[in-house]
Amino acid sequence: MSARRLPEGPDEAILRDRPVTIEVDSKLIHCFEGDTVGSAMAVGGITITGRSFKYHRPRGLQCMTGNCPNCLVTVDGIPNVRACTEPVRGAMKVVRQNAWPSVGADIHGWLNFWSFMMPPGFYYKVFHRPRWAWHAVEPLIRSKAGLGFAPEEEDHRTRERISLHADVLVVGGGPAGLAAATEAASAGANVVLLEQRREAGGHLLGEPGGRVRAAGLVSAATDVGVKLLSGTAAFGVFDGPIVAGWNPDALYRIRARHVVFATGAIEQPAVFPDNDLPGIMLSSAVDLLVNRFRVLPGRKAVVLTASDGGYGTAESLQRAGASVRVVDLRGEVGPTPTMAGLAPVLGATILRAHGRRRVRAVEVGPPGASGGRKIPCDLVVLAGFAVPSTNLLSMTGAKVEFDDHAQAFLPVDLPPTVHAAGAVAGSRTTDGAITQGRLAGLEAAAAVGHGSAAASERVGLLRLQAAADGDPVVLPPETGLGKGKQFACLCMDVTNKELKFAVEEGFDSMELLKRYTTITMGPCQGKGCMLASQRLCGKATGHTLAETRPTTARPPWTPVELGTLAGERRSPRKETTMHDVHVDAGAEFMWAADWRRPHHYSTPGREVEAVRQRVGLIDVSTLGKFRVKGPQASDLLERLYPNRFGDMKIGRVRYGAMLNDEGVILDDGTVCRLTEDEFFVTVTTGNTAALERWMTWWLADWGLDLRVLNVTAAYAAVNLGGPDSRKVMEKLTDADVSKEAVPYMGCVPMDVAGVPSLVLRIGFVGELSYEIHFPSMYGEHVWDATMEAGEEFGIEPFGLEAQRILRLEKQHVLVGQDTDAESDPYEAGLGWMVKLDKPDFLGKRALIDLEAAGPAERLVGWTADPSIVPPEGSSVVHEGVWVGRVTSARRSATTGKTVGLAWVPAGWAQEGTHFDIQFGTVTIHATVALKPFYDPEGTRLRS
Amino acid sequence: MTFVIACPNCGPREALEFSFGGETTRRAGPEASEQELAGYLFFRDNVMGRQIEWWLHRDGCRKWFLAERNTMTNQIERTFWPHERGRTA
Amino acid sequence: MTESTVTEAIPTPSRPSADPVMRSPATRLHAELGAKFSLEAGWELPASYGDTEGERSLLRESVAVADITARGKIDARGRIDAALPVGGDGDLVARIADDWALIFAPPGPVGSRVRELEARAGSGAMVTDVTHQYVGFALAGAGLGDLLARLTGWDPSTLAPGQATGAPIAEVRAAVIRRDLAFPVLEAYVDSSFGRFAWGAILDVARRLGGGPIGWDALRAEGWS
Repeated sequence: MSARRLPEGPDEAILRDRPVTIEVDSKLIHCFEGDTVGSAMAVGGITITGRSFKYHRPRGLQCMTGNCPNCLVTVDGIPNVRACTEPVRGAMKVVRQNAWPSVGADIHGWLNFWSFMMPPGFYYKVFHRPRWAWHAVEPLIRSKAGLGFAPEEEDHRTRERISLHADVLVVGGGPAGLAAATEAASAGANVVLLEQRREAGGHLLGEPGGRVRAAGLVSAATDVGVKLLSGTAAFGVFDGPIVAGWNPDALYRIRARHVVFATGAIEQPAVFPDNDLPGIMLSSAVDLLVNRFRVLPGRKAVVLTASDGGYGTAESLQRAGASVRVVDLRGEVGPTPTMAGLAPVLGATILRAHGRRRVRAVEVGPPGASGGRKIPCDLVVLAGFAVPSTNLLSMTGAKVEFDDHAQAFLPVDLPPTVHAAGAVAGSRTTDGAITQGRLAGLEAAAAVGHGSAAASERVGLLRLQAAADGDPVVLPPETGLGKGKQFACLCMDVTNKELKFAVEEGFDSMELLKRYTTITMGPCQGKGCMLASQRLCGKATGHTLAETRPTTARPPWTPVELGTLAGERRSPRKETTMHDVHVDAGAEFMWAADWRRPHHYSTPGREVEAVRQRVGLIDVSTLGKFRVKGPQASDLLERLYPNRFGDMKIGRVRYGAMLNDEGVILDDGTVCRLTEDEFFVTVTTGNTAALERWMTWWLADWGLDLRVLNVTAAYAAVNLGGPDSRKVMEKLTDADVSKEAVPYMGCVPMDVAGVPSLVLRIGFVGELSYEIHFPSMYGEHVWDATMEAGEEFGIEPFGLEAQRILRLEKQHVLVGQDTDAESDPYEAGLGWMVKLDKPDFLGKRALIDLEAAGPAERLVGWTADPSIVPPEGSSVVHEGVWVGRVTSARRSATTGKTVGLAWVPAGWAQEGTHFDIQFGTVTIHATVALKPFYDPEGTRLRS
Repeated sequence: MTFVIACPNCGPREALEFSFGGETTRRAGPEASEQELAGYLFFRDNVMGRQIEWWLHRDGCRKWFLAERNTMTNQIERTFWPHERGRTA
Repeated sequence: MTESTVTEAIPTPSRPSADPVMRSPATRLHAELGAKFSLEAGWELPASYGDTEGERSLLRESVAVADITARGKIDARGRIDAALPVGGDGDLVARIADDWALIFAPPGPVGSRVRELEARAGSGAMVTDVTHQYVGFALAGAGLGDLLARLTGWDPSTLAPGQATGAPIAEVRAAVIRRDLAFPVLEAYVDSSFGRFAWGAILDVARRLGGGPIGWDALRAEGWS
């Protein structure tokens, strides 16, 4: 066993019967289950845990609580893992970061000497002349930035997204949080507690006797039903409020009616020359190392303190076998036996530290002295200067104000559903924290309806007990004296001198200073540096600490894995009820909005030929469908469409396009009249949701007497099209499907393949065709029956691509592709549907002007040589100037040419006009064709 | 968009369950002047403070309702049905 | 009375039959899980996944998901108070808003019920057969809370037994009804276009929690109908 491992202790968390061996930079370290990588490194005598961000200075363990950036290492390929809190696992491979070739001998150490060339913001100032040099230098600077390397392998680990609802959420599982949760749950509230460490108990986990006490508090909480989520860190509070937390398995969204913040206080380092040397630690680190992990981090310790608490740490060290000197900032202290044994130096502070790769001595003297007594040491402990961790609390909108007694910014002005308890609210003793916790728990429970008369009494008593406790706080001086860097921000390597210069450059407030020097913007997010930054900013700008507010708190408070934020993404997709049939038929699928649709089955060319020559079948179930019924149903349609529908006969279908009040085309579709007051409306697949909103909104605003129901999913639909389609229909139904019984633009209910259906005779593809709408769960049955009936006629299924070619041959407009957000019906060739004599409809006012002015451009058909097909979006040019664009283009085997639609200047909309289409360096010659390319008179679809 | 909206039918729900319908407007009819039409189509009051606006409870009861929301704080003061407002157009 | 014949799981694509049969869009997915189907009132429904006893135990130990699409479903919209069925007859009424209710019936045609209700309601309401509009899932078992926490941001504790509301489930809007038996049960109905997606998403999460699919036989044995 290493000389640094201490014998068994009552508060240890290591399991001595479970040895573990890990590798740190090829050094094998023998430790135990329960150790963290940090404590293991301490056992193994590794004092340098990494190199700092900018100056590559050696750094060592400092906090052991996950707050500072010093121990970020790469574990099994994952960068920036906090060694101090990461539990060890067998065969773990740890690599220290930001150094080459090794942390012990880093060639970038030279950066430390050239640091005067790299003040904050140096990259804005240097390397700008000559300009060409920046391109050479920038990649070099960038390569030096950052800590660790991103892993190369893909990450397929499952992370869930879990939404929790609670009456009371408690953030923080230290004594205050556990007490609050227990009280609230005992009163009957549904309580969730978030604790970021694996074991709840907060600072008790490092104190002698604390672990047992913490375990007792935890059982008390879980016994009354508190849902304790340990190892789960709250990283942000958002509008609502909603609290976001995470652990490696899940992202939590927690909506609670009341939230208690018991986030504790964070110990702060002191500022003096070379205060970042390995071996200079916070008392939390030493307490945890000595009591919880049973490791002695040094043999000759100097403890700097300004409260009685620091003596406890000193005593633990002494008992573990270290020699200890205590330096107390206070001039006078009440004598106790503990202090007597430690012979403290009173009224003194640490003026500076000495050492290169590890602290070797400190100079001690009264604050402000020019020199002091040198005390050799290999461990410096900074004890008891803690700042309430108000960051998460501030995100709720709570305000903080400076409290003289506590020498800290404490929460005041909390929103009505937010509470604070424990060290975050200014308490400085464990009992005080527990009392505040109980109070907050009772108040929160009462606020959500779990109060009682007895509870109110207890609240009164607790209020008296919970007033600010503990001795007044004395802070160490803002800076030390002498040469050597005095670090305010360890994450970003910002010194007090640099802050002073930045203020002199004009960045004279915390918010400006933060953005310019990047203090508080590193991995710690201000946990270990906000206090020092505020004090130094104040000093440089001539303000007190009280006058220098901390910067705005923003999420994330702790680093969150991107994988967790990406989390479990579900993208809803829609499939028709004939989907499996298409799969079996070998369809190639494509996305159309959020639907999966067949693009083709064999080849588009073959499918087009089948429809033109014989008969084809396409699944058009994705069409948006609405049932519109009621006494004012036709009123609604008259107002929504420019068309006239009121005079439509039962059993007829009309093609219409909805406009908005700009006169712009929103969508096109069909309207069938089923009865006097019932209509069946279809709209474009991709616009269904938007049109449901559109129609129901106008209905709500106008308050008309009718009902609209989106029945898109209730009905499947197929389009059976081709010269032989009637023959197939005759086999599928006993009803009369003659030209007279089911005329063009008629809609007739009948049974098809034994299933009650609505048959529409419309002609999107330009052939005799029947659009059959039927209850969707008969999908496979109807498809199979139709294919079987059509077999003798050579029926083929056809997909979206074939459909596009077929409709283009007929110059049928696709709204959204051939029209855009400015197209009105007149210029799109749909002016025939506009009935301006109607009293009012959406777009009427705008159309009056548009009709009078006449269109400036027109959507026209065009043909070109079949050898080349321009991409959709190609430009229409005239003498080198862009004057329009191609919206649709395909090669048409039926006509033997390339055909398409394009927007051209209105004057060109004459049969036979020649114009040029350009894409890239290619120009092709096109000719305007105003009538459909195929069957221009429409005899086939009316047959 | 993590705030909570109290649907008049379903009660308080996550804002993500709703679709926003914009500030209430007064529709310019067929007799409107060009100014009035342009104002209705392209301009909004966009107040810094209380605004009456449309919301659809898309994932819930699927009804449209009105809300009075403070655009500075995202606090929704009240929600009500269209027939409960003073008649507009 | 309904007739029921048990057929083997259908591993190959359906072949057209003289009588049209209705099946949930997720049928192929059930077949892939080894489901045994039965024919009831024109519906081919998943009777079991091969182990009815095992499926029943899921309800007590974790969570189970059933495809309950094979029901008659009616949508009533508008001034519907007069339209709603009076008395039992196996109907489950989900009143989601004052002007919207869904009525669920045992498997079978609902055409005549729709006409009857529409006649009762008059012109102020619209009653529509939405049997094919929705797929339905029964989410049931002791672990229902954990399942829902992973499927929606909606708070299920706000829905009392017997009550219905609209809420998003697996990112898709659903009509949900709470129907607790000896264990919590939530029925969720989503557009049938989302049928396969929703089944897959819900079952994924259920599996992760140690649960799985459950057939009609097991559910009915537990008192569900």
